[in-house]
Amino acid sequence: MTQKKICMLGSFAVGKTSLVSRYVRSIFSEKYLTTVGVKVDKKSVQVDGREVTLLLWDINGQDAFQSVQRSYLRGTAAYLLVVDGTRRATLDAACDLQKTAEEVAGKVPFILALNKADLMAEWEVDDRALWKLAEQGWPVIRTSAKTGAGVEEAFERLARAVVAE
Amino acid sequence: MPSDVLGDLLRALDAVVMERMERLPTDRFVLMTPAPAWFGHVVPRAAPDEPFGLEGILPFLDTFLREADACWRAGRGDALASPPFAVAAEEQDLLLRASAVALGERHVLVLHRLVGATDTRPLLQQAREDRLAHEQLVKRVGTLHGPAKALARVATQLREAEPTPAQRAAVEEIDQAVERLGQVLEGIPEPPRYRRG
Repeated sequence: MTQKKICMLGSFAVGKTSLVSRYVRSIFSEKYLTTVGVKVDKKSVQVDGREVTLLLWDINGQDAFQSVQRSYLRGTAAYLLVVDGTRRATLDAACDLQKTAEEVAGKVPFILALNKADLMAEWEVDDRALWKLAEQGWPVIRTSAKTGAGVEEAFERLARAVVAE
Repeated sequence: MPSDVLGDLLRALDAVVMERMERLPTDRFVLMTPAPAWFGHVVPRAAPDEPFGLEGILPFLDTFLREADACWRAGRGDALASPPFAVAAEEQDLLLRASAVALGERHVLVLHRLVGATDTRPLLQQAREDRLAHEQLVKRVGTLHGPAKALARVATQLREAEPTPAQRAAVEEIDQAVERLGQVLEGIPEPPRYRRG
């Protein structure tokens, strides 16, 4: 069976672990539990009639206390760049992580997940910033690990992209 | 040191030592020391003196073992340590670290559970919660800049409107309040920026 490694990248507390929990186990918890190192989850999906096992590498958030280990990114087939829409600085962190991911893994497929779409009233990431990313060809999906909005779509698009590679 | 004492010592230290016996088609290992209880939960098929595989059980190791292979084949007594990785367990995820050690012809894998001072999760949890609270505080304080500027404008307009002595005293009070508020707002530091890995 085909296995594909997909990395979850982003600043701390953007919702990487919550997105994985929503996608793999259909659950969400309001409680914030920080990730140290990496935790790998699996999900088998059907893509164009083929069964593919996605290995979801949930990597610790990038912040002043921990960097993302470049070794985690080796061999990744794709990645999900996660941004917390209510914290503008997490978009800057995502842009930096994208450069690191490209240095280590090459030009593999990725999607920018603008998470916490259920908190639109508190959003700090404006349309102008998104428009600039769209101009660069970045695919962007608004997600909410809490409600599930956009989560299946984000992972399914990545799964189709890695199978097509 | 007698091997049984060493084995008990390693188990007490939450470490398990294995030797790779077969390489192809998939790595198979044999326990060199008694395994701590957590290892039995994670790799139930592991039994003393019986080769077992790790493929698919700990997905992180599938990647690490490919890198470890290069270290073992070099055979120079090198050791390769992994970063921390978490494994699902009943109550709380286990935080582990793997080390591949080349002892001549012997290819040794050590899995070590990070506990106590080596488990940085409680510290990082608190640090990140504090950081989030700080960010929220800075955001809320930032909303005070607008009202402070509005007050300063009002004070200026009142001063320009030739105030009476009583009104002048009130304007001075507003000026002092705005200045104090400005000092408080400037004194709140921004959260430290992240460092690029």
